[in-house]
Amino acid sequence: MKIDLLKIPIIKRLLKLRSFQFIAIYPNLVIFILIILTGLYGIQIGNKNFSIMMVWILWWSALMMLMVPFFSRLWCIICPLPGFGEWAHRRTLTEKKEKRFGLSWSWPKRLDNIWIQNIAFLAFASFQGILITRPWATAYLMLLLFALGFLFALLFKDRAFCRYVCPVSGFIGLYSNFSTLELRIKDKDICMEDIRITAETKRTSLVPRGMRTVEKLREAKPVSWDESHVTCIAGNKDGYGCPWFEYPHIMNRNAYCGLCMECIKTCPYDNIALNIRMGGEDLFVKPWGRIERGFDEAWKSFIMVTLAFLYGLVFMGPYAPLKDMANMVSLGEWSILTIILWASSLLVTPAVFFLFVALSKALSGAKEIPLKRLFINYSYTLVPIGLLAWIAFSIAILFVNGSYLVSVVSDPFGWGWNLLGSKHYPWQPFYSGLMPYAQIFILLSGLYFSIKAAYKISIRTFPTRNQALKGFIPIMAMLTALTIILLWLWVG
Amino acid sequence: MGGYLGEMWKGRLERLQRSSAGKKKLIFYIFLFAVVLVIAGMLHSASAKSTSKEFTITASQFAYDPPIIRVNLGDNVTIRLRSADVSHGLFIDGYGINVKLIMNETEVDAYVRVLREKVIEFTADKQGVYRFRCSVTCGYFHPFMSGKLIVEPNSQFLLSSILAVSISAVFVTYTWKNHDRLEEGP
Repeated sequence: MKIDLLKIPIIKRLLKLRSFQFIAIYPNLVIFILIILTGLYGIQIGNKNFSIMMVWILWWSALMMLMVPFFSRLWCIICPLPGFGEWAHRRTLTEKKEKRFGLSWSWPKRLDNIWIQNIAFLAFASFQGILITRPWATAYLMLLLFALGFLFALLFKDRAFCRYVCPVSGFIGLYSNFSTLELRIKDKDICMEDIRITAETKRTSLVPRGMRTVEKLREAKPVSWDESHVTCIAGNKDGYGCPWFEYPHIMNRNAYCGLCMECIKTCPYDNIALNIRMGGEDLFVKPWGRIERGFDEAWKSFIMVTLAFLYGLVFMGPYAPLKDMANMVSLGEWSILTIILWASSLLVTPAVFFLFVALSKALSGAKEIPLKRLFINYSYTLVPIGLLAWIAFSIAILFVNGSYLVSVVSDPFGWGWNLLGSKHYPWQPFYSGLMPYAQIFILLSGLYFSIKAAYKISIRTFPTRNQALKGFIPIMAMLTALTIILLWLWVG
Repeated sequence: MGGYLGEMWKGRLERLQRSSAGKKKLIFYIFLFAVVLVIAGMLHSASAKSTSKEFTITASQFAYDPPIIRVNLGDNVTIRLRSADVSHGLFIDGYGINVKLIMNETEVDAYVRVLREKVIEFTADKQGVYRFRCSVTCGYFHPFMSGKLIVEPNSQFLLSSILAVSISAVFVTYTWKNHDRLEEGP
């Protein structure tokens, strides 16, 4: 069951405004500027500085606990990092203009994946101990990301930075597949008919619907951007073509839809829906024609689930040597942790996962299924448990340190201000006694969703039900073992 | 005798597996088994004898030594909190205990620093794992300075692990039971 939010008139009116994106980004831009200023010029004690508290306590927790699981790429709507670049590239803050500023290069086909995002995320994770404790480091990180967003907007078309470079976008995209919000077309036949007619007539203007009959077409092959001129891709007077390089008419996953709402503005058939749904469906869809699912997303799932464990161990565990390594007490110690981080994310976790996939294939007896296909398909079973593991981590972050937020909003720089009268609000963990039980519930929920995903992927991958059931059992065992390891981390 | 019993239970299990009502019973038995284990664990914990335990915990940037302390449910616990460097605190999750050890910054004599301590006394009346944390800003990694108090038996981990295995077992049983009615393949 799906509920289309665009049936609510006020929501539809808001999302169709040309100024919607600017309105969504602007308040956040002000906050980010304050984050940079407080990071550079404020007190350099993390729990007393606005930048650390806003980014690593509030934003991270809100992103993992609320935005991604329930609202897909909501963060990407309001993220200010690509803002300057996009406004410069489009030569306007809100209007639709034809001419673009910059080189507008096409993104290289060989890099049409998320490997850059995988490596970028690991690179930032290597310095996480410094980033989350030194306000100046957070400020410089924000400046770097602003600069990259601007640079890439001047070099490449549209949201190339968001789609292919931003380290946050990589995991938001993967975990958005589990979200309860989606943007999809309502009726595929309308889109296919539109593509067919515009291709035949080679006209960039649309044929009015009343002048032709909509015929039911067979499953159409995706057409290239240059052939179709479909306005959700090419744009029209009402808006830009999809800046995330998606094809709305065949888009069946949340992964790369930035919810910019341009297609809602450009579609002349009112054929776009913004649905609330049950969530998780995108993990099971068949790969669509333009991009086969490759190892990039599989490795993203390994990286995220590994880091969910390692972050919990290093930052929330009682082990002093690990904290010294993360704190870069010495270069040698930091190097050891960095090697562990990269090796476990890129090698160890995939290797262990491979063993279980090989066992799955052996048990199923399905010799005709390539091991590569099984490996990639089953990697999506780590999405629910990975996301829920991050939620368990975020609960520990927010419940323990959330009270610092109350004081820093009154004294963001730590200069002795008391703007809202809450500067002396004492540190007090919230519901610390209930926290372990909340984490247990979350991890067990993640196990359930992952097992369910594993079974659905099995029956879609194997040719017979018997093979699917047998192939599913080693994966289920792996997910159960992973959950017990995560439970040990928090309550063991 | 053991062989006979094994055959008897094997036959009984096979009969359960074959019938539809039997499969429902199987799922129920799995849950019942999990619940019995949990109750047994909790009864065991309730019957454990309480003793007095004393620990000296030295706080330094940014860890506690020892980092993990183990007690039994019902123990009377005494913690002597000391600092090896700057001011630190100790907040114990779930118990709401919060003490602060404020060092006089002019005390440069290490001997005097070591002698200063705060004593915490409480009864470990809740089983499970509880973090203890620094409650006085002591430097960069202050928000992540923590240790573990484990009150045995740790039924949180035992219970949750049993539930994890039970979820998997029930799921396999359910899919096996509804094999023919599940959605089409690839």
